[in-house]
Amino acid sequence: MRSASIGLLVTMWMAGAGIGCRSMNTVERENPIGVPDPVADKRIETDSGLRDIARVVSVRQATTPDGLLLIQVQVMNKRFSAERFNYMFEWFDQNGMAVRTPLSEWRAQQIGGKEVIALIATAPDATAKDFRLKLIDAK
Amino acid sequence: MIFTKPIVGSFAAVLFSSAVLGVGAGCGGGGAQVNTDPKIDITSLTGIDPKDLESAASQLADSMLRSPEVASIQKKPAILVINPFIADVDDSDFDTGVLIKPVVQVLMKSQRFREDTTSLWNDVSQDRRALELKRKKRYLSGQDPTDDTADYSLSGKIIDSYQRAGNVRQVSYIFQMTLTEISSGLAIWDDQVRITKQGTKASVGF
Repeated sequence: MRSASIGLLVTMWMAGAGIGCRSMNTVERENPIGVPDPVADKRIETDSGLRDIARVVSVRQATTPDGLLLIQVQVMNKRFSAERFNYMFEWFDQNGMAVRTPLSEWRAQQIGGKEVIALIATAPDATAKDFRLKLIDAK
Repeated sequence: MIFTKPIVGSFAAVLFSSAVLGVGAGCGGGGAQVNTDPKIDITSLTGIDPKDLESAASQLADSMLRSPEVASIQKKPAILVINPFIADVDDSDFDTGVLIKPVVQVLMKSQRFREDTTSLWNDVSQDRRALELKRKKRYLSGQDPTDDTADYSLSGKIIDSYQRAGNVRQVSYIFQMTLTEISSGLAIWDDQVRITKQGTKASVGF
């Protein structure tokens, strides 16, 4: 009787998990053609839950034809359920001074279960040489 | 001192009352100036929030900066004029300038564009004094005072859409923007951003 109750509970939990969580399958080229320019990064993670929702996978850089820095940060949701977070890019010049720009605004982002997405930002001008990505959990 | 029940009860009542008064004094609920923060900004379901416009402007400007066509414009800085944006939204207090201004600021800072603030918008110039002086100088130098020297124009449209499923309300704002080369009349950049908000009621945080 007791084992039957436990079995029923487990079954109900699994059913609930299956209904509430839809993770993502992906297909891509086995050997990507693109040649990325990776950026070594420093991470300060104070929110372990957010780290599961938006785990930084890679950081890459490029430049526009007229010299603006492009940054792409790929993040992965390690959970099976869709989640939300907010992010913002800040920019710094070659002296490490912050570059004020309307581009530095919080953006809301949704990410599917087990999904990898790319957060891309363009530097506001040619003096912006460095960046900082801020991530915060949605409410 | 031996406490009897009535004295203990009175003492506890005094302590409790003092605690309530203290909490009430500390939590006045008064207004305070706050910075834009996703944890404390209010998300409404009945209109456009300032952060919706700021986020849309940021994404559109980012898209424009990243565009290879915009990056390859030969003339730098090119002269940019702003067309009146169409706001097809229910929010009567909405001002398209809150969306357009940050985008123009980003384009100016990129050194790729300069906004012509003397261009006419519904027969009104942003800077009427500058327009008068510009026309006077052109006239005195033998040029056509009404000649427009703009290279590109920025135009756009904002559309809202409301849906409801039971108690859950959803409002979507679609921000469309186009950059047109005036000499050819052809668009060289076009993009749109959708901001969707969903919930049963307005809340703090987004």
